[in-house]
Amino acid sequence: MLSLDPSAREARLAIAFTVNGSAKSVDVAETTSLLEVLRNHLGLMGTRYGCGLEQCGACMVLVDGQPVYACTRETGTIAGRSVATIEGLGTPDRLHPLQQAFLDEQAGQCGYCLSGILMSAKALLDSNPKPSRSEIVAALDRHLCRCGAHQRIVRAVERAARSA
Amino acid sequence: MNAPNLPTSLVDNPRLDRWIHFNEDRTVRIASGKVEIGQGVVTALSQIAADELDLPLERVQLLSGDTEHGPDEMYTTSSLSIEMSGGSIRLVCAEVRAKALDRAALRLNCSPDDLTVVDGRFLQNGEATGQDYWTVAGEIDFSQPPSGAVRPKQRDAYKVVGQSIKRLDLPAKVTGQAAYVHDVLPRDVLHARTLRQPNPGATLVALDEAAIRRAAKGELQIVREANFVAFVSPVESVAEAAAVAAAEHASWDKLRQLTPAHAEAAWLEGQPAEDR
Repeated sequence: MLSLDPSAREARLAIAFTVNGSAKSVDVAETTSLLEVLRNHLGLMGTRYGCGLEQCGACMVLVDGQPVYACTRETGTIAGRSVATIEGLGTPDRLHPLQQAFLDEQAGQCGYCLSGILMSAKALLDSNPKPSRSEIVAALDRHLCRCGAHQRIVRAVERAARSA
Repeated sequence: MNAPNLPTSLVDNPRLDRWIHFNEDRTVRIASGKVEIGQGVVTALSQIAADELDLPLERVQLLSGDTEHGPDEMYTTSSLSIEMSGGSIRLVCAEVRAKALDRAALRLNCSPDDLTVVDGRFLQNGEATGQDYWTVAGEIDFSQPPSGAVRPKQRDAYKVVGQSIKRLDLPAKVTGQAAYVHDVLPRDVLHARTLRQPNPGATLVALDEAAIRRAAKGELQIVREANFVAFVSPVESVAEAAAVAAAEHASWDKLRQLTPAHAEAAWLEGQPAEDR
């Protein structure tokens, strides 16, 4: 049996925010990571757990349009804000231009890094529709692709920017 | 004719129905024990099956890693998937194609050599016969092992193999849909994180469990076996917080003291070694 230590519990109250345009409310400790809330409470498994240490970028989501590491972001800080995840970007039937460009360039192997990379790329193109190659590299600097598809990924973002 | 050396996977999973099944919607299910880990194997195996059966890629559905319907091919490792699974699928499909043409030839009162296959349909002198894989599949005994006597296609006959085909697994991966093992979240699952030994041989002499519980801020079980400690909680972030806090609340004996000398090649070369 799990032991419950009452002194170690934090006060809880519902935290309300929007995810991909839908209103959500979760009853968790304020320090609970946004990634855990997205995956374990809201069932949005598209945002990946990589390192949990802001080292890999697999968990990147947008909060009010800005890329944020969901693995360390405390959900209490999200109250009233707007979260965008890969599930809101597009579906196989209705791909976002970035997703189409990633398919066109075949930019990915195991795919574990792609959700986070696509969200950072979306934030980049939203604020800078025609980025230079070095601006793309800088925007994706916080992301690791262990398979080594970085070159294709950069080309895919370039392609999406051209098509927009 | 002596059966050639069959791939190990086919020896281990000899029944044809472990590998191939004709679906009612004019597709064929090809099963493999190898799984997609980003190497493109699902696409590549589909290509092999499509060519051997004279089917377009769209009619091949690759079932991967399904232990109920597919073959047991052990692990996906060592760059053996094409050789083992692909080699097996190639032989199975060649065998099934030959059996299907034999059945169709009997119905049409012709020689199998008179028949060609286009999009899974059997043509005689270029004319439709009304026969295809799906009309004759019910007459084939898929519980048999392959004879190994049917010769697969030669390389110059390939139409799909060798083409740069778009990866079949990628659309799900760019839309956040691909299910990784991490995405399987059973009801009432417990999460755990562990405390690692700082070096082999280090022994845990003290662990301030109260301090760790304070840092974890939630329901937590601490499992301790000798120098191994796990932090278990129904809330993933609680287990995570406990493990992060544990490092500073653990006291170790027999810690390895590294000095700059340990970084030198001379130190390494001076260590006991066994030549093999």
